[in-house]
Amino acid sequence: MQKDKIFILLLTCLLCAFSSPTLAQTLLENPSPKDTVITRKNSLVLHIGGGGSYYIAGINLRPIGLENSIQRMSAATTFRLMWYPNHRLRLGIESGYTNFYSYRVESGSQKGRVSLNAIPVLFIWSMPVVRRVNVYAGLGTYILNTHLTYLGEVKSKVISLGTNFAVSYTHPFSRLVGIAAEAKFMNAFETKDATMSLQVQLVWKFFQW
Amino acid sequence: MALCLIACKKEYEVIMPDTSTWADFNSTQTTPIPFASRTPMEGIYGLTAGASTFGEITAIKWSYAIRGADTTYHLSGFFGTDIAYFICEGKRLHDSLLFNGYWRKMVSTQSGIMRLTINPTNGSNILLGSAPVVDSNKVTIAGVFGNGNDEPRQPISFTYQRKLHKDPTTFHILAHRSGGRSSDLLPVSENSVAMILKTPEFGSTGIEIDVRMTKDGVPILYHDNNLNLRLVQKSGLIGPIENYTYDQLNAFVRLIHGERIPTLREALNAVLYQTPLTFVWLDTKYVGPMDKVQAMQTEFLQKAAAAGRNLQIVIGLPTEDALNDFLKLPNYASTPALCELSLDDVKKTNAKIWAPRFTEGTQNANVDLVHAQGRLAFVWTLDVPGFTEQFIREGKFDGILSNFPSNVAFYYYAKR
Repeated sequence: MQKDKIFILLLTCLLCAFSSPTLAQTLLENPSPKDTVITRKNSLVLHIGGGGSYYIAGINLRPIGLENSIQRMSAATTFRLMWYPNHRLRLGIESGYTNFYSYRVESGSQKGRVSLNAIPVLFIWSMPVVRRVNVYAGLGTYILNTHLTYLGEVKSKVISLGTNFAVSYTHPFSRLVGIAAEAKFMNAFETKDATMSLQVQLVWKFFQW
Repeated sequence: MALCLIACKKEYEVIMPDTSTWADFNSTQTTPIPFASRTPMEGIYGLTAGASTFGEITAIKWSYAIRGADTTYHLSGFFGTDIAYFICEGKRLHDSLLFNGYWRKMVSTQSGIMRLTINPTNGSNILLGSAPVVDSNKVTIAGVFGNGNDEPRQPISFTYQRKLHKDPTTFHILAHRSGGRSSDLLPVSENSVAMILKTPEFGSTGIEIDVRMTKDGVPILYHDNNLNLRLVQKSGLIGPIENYTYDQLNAFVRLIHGERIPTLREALNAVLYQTPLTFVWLDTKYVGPMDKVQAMQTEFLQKAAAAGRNLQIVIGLPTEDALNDFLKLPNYASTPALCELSLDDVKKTNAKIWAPRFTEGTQNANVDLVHAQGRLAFVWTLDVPGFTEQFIREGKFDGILSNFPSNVAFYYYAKR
């Protein structure tokens, strides 16, 4: 159910972006897209997207007397706001959502579930390395939330220091809008949680001066 | 940047050597070492080989723990260099005594196999005789030690010099977190039943344990505010331990070496019925009513008395909050307590023990004052060998709390 919601949210964002008057006007004015959304002006660029993630950190669950099966695959979303100055190094902030892992447990008639998700809040540094290819490195925190439903319900959270590292390829549709494919490593190193994700993102240069 | 952060983090590991490969020790002809031979062995021994690794002298002491139907006896040796110690099991083979185990230095990750022997010419005939009495130079323990799982080849030997030091009044060697910190790479987890059974091997005569309450009000042993990977394995459960019921913790959470988080009841049962420990310091890590802890303290003091055991259990008061919660108990004045705060607070709570931190010095005048009031004085948490030696040599405290009880044991037993 949660994955469906995320997918619908992502689709809505993409549709809203593509159907906006600004974008339509932009596309009409620029029938021949340039190779890149990079310009030499200062600009603010929004990255919104989502995809799938896989939990790659080690885990050896040992709930006693409980059958369990771990789910490492899940949906992941990204929200990133970048400042593109008139030089190569860019700065920004990033958040989003990812479910690190979840597992169901069962003991007789008693059933339950544990899931651990994270909301990153990271400062991002980025630069283009070759044409249309950008690298990103982030440092900050992950807000980790656990949801346990077994012998009662518990929601609990902690904050972990963490990083991320991503590489993306951006295909421009216009001078203002493009779509990016991104591979991202997310690492909450205090809690030793890490995922690899593949995402599709809308890249929208919504303000420039 | 991320890769650099990950790459720079070094993981330390202490190898617990495989000690099962000594053929003589595994022989079917071995028998247990007679009880009467054990205590006379205890003493200060001078090293004639291996001194460059372990120092000039060692304090040798026996301990035991009861596991199920078996009582396991261990011979421990505490050294003055690098907080080193060895722990061996002993057996008799014909006329010789064999000791098989491992050594460890707590200042590093060094460890290895230790194999020791006392043959008839080195004193086993004395120890195996009737009513053995050991005099200086009459018993020599000799053998080999190695590094990690390597076959031990380096010689070590030590010869009996004198008896262990013993004060007229009881001196308490107290182990922090039931025996030591998990971060010191010990083979069992801190605040676990396994550690309670292990800690007498480090020379401990008592323990400090950290008490918290679960969501459903079960007193358990756990040090930190949160479930974290320093203390527990990855389970998906995070955040304050007080968020979870005991059944939930019991089902999902395992300590770093796989043990369950014990209840206070399980811990006190282990102390009382499975170890020779004589002192338990219940360090209250939570804020809230203390009636359940007090009730369990009373219950186990009664059980100890019924079993003829000399066991003290005190409620620790480390903060003003804990002190205020303690004062709300109906009969706090007759409840054994240990107060870490001021001398006025000690009087106010009628605590049996005053326990200042070591950074305030030996405070001999204050300790005299406390003694004059019929109370005891402990000091915490002494881990630096130089300070430990100084407090034992110059101080008047009745007990020392340490993450390295073997180091306290060395300096205390070697005191002249």
